[in-house]
Amino acid sequence: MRPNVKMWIVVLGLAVAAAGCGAPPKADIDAAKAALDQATSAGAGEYAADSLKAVQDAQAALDAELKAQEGKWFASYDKAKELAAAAKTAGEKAVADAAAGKEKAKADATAAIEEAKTLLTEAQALLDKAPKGKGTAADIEAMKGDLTTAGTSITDAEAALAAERFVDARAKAESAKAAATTVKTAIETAMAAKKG
Amino acid sequence: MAIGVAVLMATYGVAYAVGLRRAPVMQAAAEAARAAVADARTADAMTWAPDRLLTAEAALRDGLAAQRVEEMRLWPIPDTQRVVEAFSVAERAARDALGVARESRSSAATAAASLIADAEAAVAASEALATTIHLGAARRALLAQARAALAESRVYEREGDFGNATVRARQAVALSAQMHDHAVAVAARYADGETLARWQRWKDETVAWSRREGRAAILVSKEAHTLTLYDRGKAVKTYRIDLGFNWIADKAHAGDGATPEGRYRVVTRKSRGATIYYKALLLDYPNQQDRADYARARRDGTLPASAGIGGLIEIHGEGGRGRDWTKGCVALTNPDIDDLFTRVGVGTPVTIVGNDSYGAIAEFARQRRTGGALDGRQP
Repeated sequence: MRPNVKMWIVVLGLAVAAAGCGAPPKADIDAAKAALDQATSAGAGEYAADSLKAVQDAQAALDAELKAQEGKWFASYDKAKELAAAAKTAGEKAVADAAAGKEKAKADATAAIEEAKTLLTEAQALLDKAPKGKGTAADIEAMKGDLTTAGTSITDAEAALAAERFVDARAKAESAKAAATTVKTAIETAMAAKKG
Repeated sequence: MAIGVAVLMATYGVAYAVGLRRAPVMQAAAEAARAAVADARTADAMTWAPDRLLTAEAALRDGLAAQRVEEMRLWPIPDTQRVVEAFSVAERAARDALGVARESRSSAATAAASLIADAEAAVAASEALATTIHLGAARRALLAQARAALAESRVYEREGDFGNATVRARQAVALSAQMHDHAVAVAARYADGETLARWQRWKDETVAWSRREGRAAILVSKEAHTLTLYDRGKAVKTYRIDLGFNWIADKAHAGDGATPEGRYRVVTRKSRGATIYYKALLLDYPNQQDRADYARARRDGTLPASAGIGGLIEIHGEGGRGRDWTKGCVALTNPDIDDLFTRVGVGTPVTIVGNDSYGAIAEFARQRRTGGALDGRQP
């Protein structure tokens, strides 16, 4: 009786050990998946598309490895661990690249808004100095209205910037720039004509 | 026993060599599939053909798994065909996703470009209308908003965001349409049979008076931007004129910028120094009809209580600017007013009509249902 019990204990121990060796590296896999999710959440799709592709490829390689090991009697997850680590690293890079891309988009939008503000201020200053000769009142009123609309666009652009909608912010800023430039050009032309 | 082991080892060695030769075939298929999926992603298939891209990505994963299974076989000769076939499925799916993405993106780009072109035309038409028809502050703001929406749509188009480009272009078109509707409403008077008949009657009576009395009379045609001097019933000279910034309307109250329509007379001649506009012929606006119209508008509530009837409508100098800038007066160039001054005096009839023939504005109003555009240039 006694030897049989020992034998079963040994067999059971070996089975447990074998099963333990063959378990997928769940923590590594979860970390790789989390890295992909974080990259996506960080806006890598919009701001670091190439880096996100690298993460997706790494994740695909990991998935393939895990699938290949599934159902094997003696599964080895050493390569899966390597791939998971690579996917995690790629994910972290994508998060960093997305942050940098986002900063750049933010800087571009901020610069566009600042340019629009400068142009608007210049246009308003010019309008104040515009020739107030006979019959210019209606034109000046019309230009004031145009600059009011440009000011509204800048306010909208700032709201979009605050909401991290950088393309929207740039679109609004560009439209304000166009309006302010049109008014500036019109006044400068009128002033030049008056001088001439 | 030893021979058996040697044969087994030799066989395995041969199989291993065969397996080594097959591995690059699988790798090449894997690379081709990977490249195809990468191409599809670069073409933004996730936006334009997401289902197809996901299918391709799943097929790529299947191929990679199949490759790994074959690489890990105890028997070293892999089933290359199975792996290559799996990667081929992925490659085909990725090419399909790429094709659909390109087509969808191209269609969206074309649609957006077409809408932006429509918006550009609509805004340009509104700009032309704006130079011809006076816009109040609210409608001026509409035009500015239309321009802003158009500018935004161009930015979105450059960014490849065709959805937002389309939305903004549509806004620009809609805002321009409101402008167009306003222009149609304003222009309708110029196509109204009764109004046209009244203007014609005023003109005929003025010319007849000039013939009968053997004296000078003036006819101002607002749409034509001309002042015609009649003598003894004959047109002897025509001058180009600038008008009120809201000339297309009939004057209703002070400050509306409209040039009045009606039959007036010169009541005062203002020489140099008596006017800031070089020389001027003051008219008897408001006349009896103007006062009656004004009183009716006040009773009907179509005029605010604070609106006065206005006055000081003159034919004066400082004109020739090529645009309508006065508050309702008729402006000639200084040489022209000099010339006119020698030909007319106090009491000269001055008849102001919207038009003395069926003109472009009337035609625009007639075509309103077909979306006709008005040439913004002055005639």
